[in-house]
Amino acid sequence: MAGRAVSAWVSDDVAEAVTLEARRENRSPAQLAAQAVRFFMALPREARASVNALDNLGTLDQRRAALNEVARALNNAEFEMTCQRMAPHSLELMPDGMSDEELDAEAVRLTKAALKRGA
Amino acid sequence: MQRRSVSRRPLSNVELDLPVHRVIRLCVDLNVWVRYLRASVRPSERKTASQAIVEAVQAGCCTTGAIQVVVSHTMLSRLEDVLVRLGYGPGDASAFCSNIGTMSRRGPAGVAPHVVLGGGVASTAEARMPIYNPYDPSVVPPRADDEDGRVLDTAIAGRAHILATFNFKDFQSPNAAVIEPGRMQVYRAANHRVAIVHADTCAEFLRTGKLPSADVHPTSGHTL
Repeated sequence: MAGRAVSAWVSDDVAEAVTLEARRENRSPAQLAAQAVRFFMALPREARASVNALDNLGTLDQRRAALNEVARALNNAEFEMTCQRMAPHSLELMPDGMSDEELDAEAVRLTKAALKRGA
Repeated sequence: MQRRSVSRRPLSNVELDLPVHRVIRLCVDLNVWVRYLRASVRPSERKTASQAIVEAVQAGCCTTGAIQVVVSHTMLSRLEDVLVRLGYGPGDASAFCSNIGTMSRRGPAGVAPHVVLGGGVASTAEARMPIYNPYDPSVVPPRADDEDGRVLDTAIAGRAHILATFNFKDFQSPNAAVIEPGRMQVYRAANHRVAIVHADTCAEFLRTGKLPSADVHPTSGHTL
């Protein structure tokens, strides 16, 4: 892949964490670092400023809470993406033309039937 | 036969163990997640109950306060099984359930999915119906399947305040005081109470902060 090298100094802790995660994900540390840089640069300027403010002024708990919110937002985005991918089949199982009450009852019936099938 | 006393006063949130200004712990039955998958196909202006519930879980809050989803590994693996058996791709089913687990871990109380001992294989005695007694009209025939017991076990183990389900009738039990027939009952375990609530009623609660406060129904075996 064409590109340029960007180097950065990090603490031993961060370097160790990068190496460990890269091995866990079967990637090189450079690939992991590249993804981190891409993600950071994809953030809006004000979000990067907030990261810097938290890094420089925030307590450990404040930084942890902020990262938890980021993790939650990313998880929710993935969840919605997954639901959209599953949508065509959801529509096959519960087609248009049913009322909300009928769809509620159908969800119960489908869930029970699927559980019984595995019993 | 001994007459049962019937409470005639409205239930308050305190009696239901609902926290004020604290995190409300919500256990969501499998059928609500399945219903959400269909509801998310075409988001309309009028939110369905499953959308209101799942969106509150995702946001970790609602107008009432902070919301923490309560879930167990058993529930997640059963939900994954259900989705695969319904024909969804295994990868998607796995990702869907994994995301729910993360919602739990990243929720306001940061609760990891529970390991419910005794509830993973079959529902515990506490969540199961007692032996049928033909002379006691409050004892109804046993439930058809153990799955509801497992969900109830999770709700009790996770100290959930509310269990939301579309399958309300299968949770009927003599250990539960009916607040509003078909809509809400309070299940009493040894050291915890959980409000079993129809998903529509739960969605209304998330929107308004109000739960039904009707009299305890006379057919229930317990007063609060």
